[in-house]
This record gives sequence, structure tokens and C-alpha cells, in this order.
Amino acid sequence: MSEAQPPVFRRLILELAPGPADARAMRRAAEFARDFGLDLHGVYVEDEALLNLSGFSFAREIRLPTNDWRKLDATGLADELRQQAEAARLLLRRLLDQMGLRGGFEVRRGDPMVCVAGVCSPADIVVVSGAMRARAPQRDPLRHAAALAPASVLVMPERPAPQGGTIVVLTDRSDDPGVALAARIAADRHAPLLILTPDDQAEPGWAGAVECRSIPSLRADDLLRALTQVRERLVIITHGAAAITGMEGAARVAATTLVPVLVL
Amino acid sequence: MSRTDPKPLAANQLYRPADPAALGFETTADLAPLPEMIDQPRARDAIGLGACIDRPGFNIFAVGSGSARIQQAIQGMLKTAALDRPAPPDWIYVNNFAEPHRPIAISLPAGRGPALGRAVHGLIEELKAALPALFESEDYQKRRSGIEQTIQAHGQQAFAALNDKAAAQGIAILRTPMGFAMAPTRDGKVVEPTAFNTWPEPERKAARDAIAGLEKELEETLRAIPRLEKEVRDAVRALERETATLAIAQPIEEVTTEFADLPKVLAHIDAIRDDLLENVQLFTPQESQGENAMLGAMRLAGALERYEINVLVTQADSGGGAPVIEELHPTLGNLVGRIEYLQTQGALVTNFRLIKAGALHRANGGTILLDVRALLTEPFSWPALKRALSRDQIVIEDAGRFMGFATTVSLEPDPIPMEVKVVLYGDRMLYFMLAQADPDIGTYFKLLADFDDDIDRSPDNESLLARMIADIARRERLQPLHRDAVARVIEQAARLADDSGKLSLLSERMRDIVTEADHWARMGGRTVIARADIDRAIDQHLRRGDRIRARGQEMILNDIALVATVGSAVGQINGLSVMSLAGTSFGRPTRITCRVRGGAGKIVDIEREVELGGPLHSKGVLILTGFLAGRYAMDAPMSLYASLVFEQSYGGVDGDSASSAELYALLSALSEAPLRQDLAVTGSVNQHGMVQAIGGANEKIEGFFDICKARGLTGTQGVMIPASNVRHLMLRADVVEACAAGRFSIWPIETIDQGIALLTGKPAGERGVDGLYPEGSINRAVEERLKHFADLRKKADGKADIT
Repeated sequence: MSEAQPPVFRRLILELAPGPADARAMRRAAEFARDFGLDLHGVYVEDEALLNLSGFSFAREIRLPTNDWRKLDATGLADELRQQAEAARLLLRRLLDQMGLRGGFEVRRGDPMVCVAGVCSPADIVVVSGAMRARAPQRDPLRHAAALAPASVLVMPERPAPQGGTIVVLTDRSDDPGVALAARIAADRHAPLLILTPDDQAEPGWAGAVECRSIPSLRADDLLRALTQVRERLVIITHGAAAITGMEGAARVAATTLVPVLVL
Repeated sequence: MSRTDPKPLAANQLYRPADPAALGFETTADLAPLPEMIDQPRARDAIGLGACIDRPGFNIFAVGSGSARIQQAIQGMLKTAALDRPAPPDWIYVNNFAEPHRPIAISLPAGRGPALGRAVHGLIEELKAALPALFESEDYQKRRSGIEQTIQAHGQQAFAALNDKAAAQGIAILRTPMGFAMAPTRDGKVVEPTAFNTWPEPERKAARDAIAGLEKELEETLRAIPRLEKEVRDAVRALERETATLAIAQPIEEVTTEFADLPKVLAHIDAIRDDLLENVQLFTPQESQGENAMLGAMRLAGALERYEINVLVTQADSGGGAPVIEELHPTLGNLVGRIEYLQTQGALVTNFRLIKAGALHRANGGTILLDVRALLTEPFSWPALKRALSRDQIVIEDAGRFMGFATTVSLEPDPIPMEVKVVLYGDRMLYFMLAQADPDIGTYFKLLADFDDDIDRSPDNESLLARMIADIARRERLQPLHRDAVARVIEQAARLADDSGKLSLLSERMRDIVTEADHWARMGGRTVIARADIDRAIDQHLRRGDRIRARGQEMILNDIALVATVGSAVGQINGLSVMSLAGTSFGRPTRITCRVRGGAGKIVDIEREVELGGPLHSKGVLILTGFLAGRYAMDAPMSLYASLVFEQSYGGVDGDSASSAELYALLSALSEAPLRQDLAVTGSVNQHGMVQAIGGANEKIEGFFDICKARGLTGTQGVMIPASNVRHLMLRADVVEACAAGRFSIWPIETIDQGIALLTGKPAGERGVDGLYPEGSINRAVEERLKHFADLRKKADGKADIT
């Protein structure tokens, strides 16, 4: 994301993994999509590796919540994946209708990382949740998200704080296109913009309520320290800053501040 | 036996007018309202006593004609008495948080129920706004998130450790739709089965063994998840309680301060606080699937309803004093209260807020008035009232439930202690029937208030009646009545009392007359009701119910029903009867005939033989036998066979008012002296030949007058009435005018001898010193005929003996 122009986002991509649909995460994503004028697109991936499991003679499954073991059956597994995909589709459809959002839903089969990456474009944001790790231990969502280029990633806290407040952008240089994006978002919502950068020579180049603060580094600890006195609404980490902060750092910031973190 | 010959009554004996000038006002607008009921000392004392005695069973049963007037009179007295009594407490029902199906009743000082309701409602409204805001606050969310993350981190770490361990052994843990599974990996990717099968057996075995080993650990890791989730829930719950406790404290404090003097209320507010903390999640933002904001708000409102107060009865707007409540429709529910239901998704549900007060609740601490007829015609109400009086408790009973109609879950609200003075009012007959059928009546209604239906007609009482009429006009928002109109109503009251010396207190009928007169006055553009308007109202009332009378008269005039008004005939007389139909009464003449012959001393009442005669009529006829036996042929057995009949009578006949007419017919038949047909007769007779008073004298006279008038008054026509009925006469103006002009006559009769003389033109005759009646007298002729019959019988009996 090092283009000269700030990105223009169209879709929020919500990956729906095997396991019970997380209605709360879906709603959080939908609320974000509504607030930022995005379409919400659900992608349900039938993990090919999972489907292949039944080919192992020794493969068996521990089923929740009874914790009983059962031999894996290819037909049954496929049926359950299909039913789960349908349940996720219905849930998303209802949510879209309720919130008056546009969006879509598709089912893909293959490697989840590849499938989701295949759906994404630079105009997309892929939403990942901190809770995903517990639900799908085979995939580290952050590592997964890191592989989703060219899309941006939204790390959604499990329990976001009430909306309203400052748009905060963490950047390694004030002329990053990501800063322009943050400025536009702030202006659209009549929200103040706070630029955090280690560059102590940086000058805000945007009109409105803009404040520029210097921080020691782009690491998550310094970011969190800088946010102590700020009531923020959204934290944006520009592409250049993300290289330092990292997805793990973004996840920490989201979990601590309860604010969505958009990693460009 | 014969006294002075009767003379026709003078016109002033036929109608007693009221003197408008003596009333002392111009219109009823000048009159002050009546303070209480008119001249009912017996009833007033009973009600006064009942109002003072607060002991079980000293309830009042008021009886008399005209329920409405009794109700008004009692209500006036009771309301006056109630002003001096303290207002009873308010009663509320609140939720029983421990046993929701048993709502708790709490009493509060008069008028404070609504204040508590408002205070609690305000508390909940405040919490509805404050608690969700608190739970959405950044501070709370961060604390909650921190708790969740801390505990969930344990689970995640366990998973991560297991994942790492598995990865180290070349195994991946995969999420399946319903759980977890494991698979061998190579270079971090899950191996396909076909590729796996190409592995050397030792490697495959190692993978299988690794999976087998990891499965147990996975199982243990998963088993820990519910415990961790419970830990999260408990920790979040504790946080919610802690957060809510602080938020609730202040609003609760405000309510408890206001009601600090009421321990039961304070206990309930404590219960509310405990339940709020126990169910604080009601106020947290819900994230149920597919629920829109409106549904969420409805769900919340429904859930919070349990904290509200159901103010069952309050004296807040009563204006002080004890309540006096009248229940016009005393169904079981209206009497003891009811539990209503709401239909929710096809099921009937209820809660303590749907408990509705009955009349007994509203009257608690005061008095309830019930029309006994209405009470007895409602199923279950009378036994329920007795149960309430027996237990001194108001228990809400569901008729459908104990009839087995309703099987839905219902409530058992706390009974409410009852302290109600019950006043039943209704017809005397109902009281006597109830007293006979239900021995409990004496237990629960120890005081009888017996209302007179009329009062003596004195100038003072005429003035009181005038004020009662004025009250009616005021209450019904009618035009005021001119004093002439009031005088006419007073006269009509005497007519309704069937006694020129009495005044009827049946206010309903007077109200009807005055209301109708008001209509005619307004139609005539008058602002004051005139006497003519009263006359018209009375006439119109009669006319509306006149169809049957007119048809009967038409039949007589057309000689279909045979009634002669001229000439004379043996054994035939005009009797008079009264028909009462739906509030109107009218008299009609009926031909009574008698035939005689020798026999076994029996007078046959044909009406009784065909079961058309009532017991009183039969009694009258049997008295004739006694009269004959006592007066004639005392030395020989009664050897008469006589038959008496009401000609062309096809309905039932009862009463003994025709017994004198029947006796005249019998005497005529025996003496063969023709009776005048231009006279009609009414009056009962005793065994000594004295003519006794009857009812309906006015209607009977008017009934015969109408026939005669229609045929043309001859000047000799008239009606013989018992002399003791003269005081009852309040005859129609046209009858009075005809009598005054000598074209019709009313004859007061004291004895049969007077009557028979008038009817036959022959003296009845008194027994002389020789023991015989004078020659040419009716009695002589009767006695000789009876002796003749006795001789015939004797001869007949002798022949029978010979044979």
C-alpha cells in the first residue's frame, strides 16, 4: 500500500470459517461497514484440507459440546459444511436487510488463505477478529491476514467501545497516503484527526481539527502510551508504520483500546 | 242488617286535589334540595344503626318497592355518614420475586399508592436509561474486555501450546463444522491422504501415534473450555453487579427515603434491588440474532414490568371519607376482582399487573350497595359475597377455573382483609324468598331496613314530595315545574298510592312522568313545565299501554263480550276486575251469572272447577256458603245447588273482590229478583254480609264508566264500591265531571243488604220478632226458596229411603 493516492475502499470482506457462525462478530463488522459506507461481503471457505481428512483411515473428530469422538465421514462432513455455509448466508442476509446494507456472500473451496486472498482487491478491507484464534486454532488470523495483500486488514476488537471520538493515524511519514485517507475519514465524520509519528518535523498538511504528535517509535507500546489520553474512534496504521507495529501489535492495540484498528 | 240507604258520592269525594297555593313556591327552581329520604323513620333508623355498628354480620338488607328510590335514599344517607369516617388505606399488588404466581398485597396510607407507583416507575425508567449507558461506557467495556481476555487467554494459550506441540510433531489441529480433528502435515501444510499413503510405514505409524497422543490432550483442552466460559460469565456477572450496585444505589435511596415509614414497602424495594442486581443483564445491550430495536425495546419493557406497582385501589382522588360504592353489574369478577390475561403467541399469560379490583376492593373500609336482584341473577356472586363476609377477606376467584374451563397458569394473589359494610336492596318478595331459601341471610344481614312505599298525605308531606320532584328535575336536568304541575304530580302520587290520603314514594314513576312532561314543555316552547304537560304525560303513558284495554272495550261495545249497561236480569250482574300489564292497569266489567236448584248444599265455583280460579277467588265463593248458612233457613239443612261463573272469562281469575257481586247474583237467582244491569259491583264480602275494601277501585270504576260513556250515559249508571274504598278514590277528571253532573254515580256500600236493595229496588228486609223476614223483601224470598229446596230434598231423601 505504498501508492501515492489514498486508497478508496468499497467492501469489507468477512471471512467465515468452519464452526458456528459468530453473530456478534458479524454484527460488529456490519456496523463498521455501515459507518464507513462499505458493502459487506461474506466469504465462506470450505477448507479442502478438512474435506480430505476423511481419506485418512485413522481420522476422527471430537464433537462439541459433547466431546465425543466420531470417525470422520466425507459425506457427513460435506453436508455439515454446506449447512453451516447456508446458516452463515442467512445470518448475513438478515443483518444486511436490518441495517440496510449492500453486500454479498460466496462459498469457496480450497485453502482458506488462498481463497480469501483471491477474493481481495486494493479496494477491500478484510476484517479479522481476535476471537478467531480460539475458534480456528489451525490458523493464526493475524498471520493469515498478513498474507492477504493487496487488501487492507481491519482488526476488530471483540467488544468495541462506544463510537465517537478522534481518528488516530500512526504513520512513519506525514505525507503517507494513509494519512490522507485518515484525514478524509475524519472530515466526513466531523471528527478530530490525530497524527502520531516519530517524525518530529512533521507538519499536518490538512485543514480541520488536526493535531500532530510525536511518538518515540512505531511500536505498539508507544502507540498505546500515546493513546492514554485520547478518546479514539478508529486507529489507522499506515503501510509504512505497519511494518514496524506488526499485526500482533495492531491486535494488542485493538484489544486494549477496544477500538478497531485498520492496517493499510 | 240494613243501615241507612247509600247515597251517591259527591264529586269532592271522588278526587282529592292538591292546593298549589299551599305549596308556597312558584316553580321547583325555588325549592331547596331534600337533605335525605322522605319520612322513613323505620328504615332510617336501621341504616343509621348499621352504619354505626362495625361488627360482623351487621350488614343491611333494605327492602321496598322501587329499587332506584331505595338506592338513592340509602346512598344519600351512607355518603353523609361516610364523610365522618376515615379514608381507608390504598392497596397495591406487587410482584413476588420468590413466587411470581403469588403476588403480594400491601396496604399504604390513603392516597399514597399512586405516589409509590410513580416513584417505582420513575426508578425503573431512570435505570432503563442509566444502566445501558453505563454498560456501554468505555470504562465498563474495557473492564469487561479485560476480564474476558484474561480468562480467554488461558484457553488460547492452552490451544496455542497444543497447536505448537502438534506442529512440532507434524500434526495440524483443524476446526470442523462440529468440533476438531487432526491431520498429519508436511512443511506446514496438511498432507493429502494419497500422499500420506506413499510415506514409509514408520513415518505413517509415527504420525498415527502422535495423533493418538494428541487427541487426549485436545480432549482435555476442550473440557476446560466450559469451565473457562463459566469463569468468564461469573466474572462478567460480578462486574455487572458491581457496576449496577453503584448506579442503582442513588435512585433506590430516593424511593426509600420517601417511603421510609412503610416497612413493607421498604422490604419490597429491597426485593426490587436484589432482583435488579440478579437480573442486571436485562439492562445490558442485547445482541440476539435478528432482533430489531423495537422488538428489543418491547422485550425489555415486558421484562421490566415486574418491578412496577399495580395500584389496585386508591383513595387519592376520593376527596376524603370512606367510600360508598355501588356495583350495578355484580358479576363475580366485578364483585371480588379478576385476573385478566393477555394472548401471547397463542398462549394466555398473566401477571400481577393484570389483577383488577372488584367492587369489594373499592368499597373496602366503606360501604358497598348491591341490587339483590342483580346479585342473585349472576352466577357465583352470592356465594362469593358470603364467603368474603365469612372470612373477612377478599379472595379473587376465577369462575372459569373452578368450572374447569381454564387450564392456563394463573395467579394466587394474597387475599386482602375486608372491612366492608354491605347493603343489599331490593323487593320485599326477594328478601322473604331469600330468607326462606338461605338460612345464612340472618347471619350476614342482621339489619332489615324496610322502606314504606307511601306516606300519609298531609300538607307537610305534600311539600316534601314537591321537593323530591324538584330534586328529580334538577338531577335529570329538566325544566323546573310550575306549582300547578307539581300539584298534579302530587295528585298522581296519590293515585299511584291507590289512596287519596296517601302519597306514593315510587320516585321512578314520578321521574318518568316529569321527564316526559319536560319533553312536552320543550316541544311547546315553554321553559317551565305546566300542569297540562303533566296531564299529557300521564295520558300519553296510558295511551301507549292502552291497546289491550281498547280491544276489550271494543269487544264489549260490539256485544262480543256480553255486558249489559241497561235493564235488569235475574242471576246476572256486572262484576269488575283489574288487569295489570307491564306497568299499566285498567278495569273491565265482566258478566257474572248464577243458576240455582235444589241439591246437597253446594255452591259450585265454575272457575275453580276448571282450574281458572285462584285460591283467593275460591275463598270468596266459599264465604258465600257461610253467609247463606248463617242467615237463612237455619232450621233446615242447606239443600241448594248453585253454580257461579265469570261469563266469557278465559283467563285466570283471582282475588275476592267479586265475592259481593257473586253473592248479589246468588241472592237474585234465589229470590228471582232481577238485578240492575246499569250498575257494576266490586267489593269482597264476609260471612256476616259486610262489604269489604278491595284494590284497584279507581281502575274498576273507570273501566265501567268508559263502557257506559261509549254507549251513552243514561244518568242511572254507576258503580257500587265498598264504603271503605271511598278514601282511595282519585278518579279521572271525566268521571268526576260526569258524577258532578249526575250522569254517573258511585255508590258506597257497607252491607250486602244495602247493595241488594239498590240493585233490585226491593228492600233486603230484616228478620222480625216472628223470626221471619218481611213479605216482599229479598231476604224473605231467598229464605222461602231455600226452604223449598230443603223440602224437595227431604222428599227426595224419603223416597230414596222407601226404595
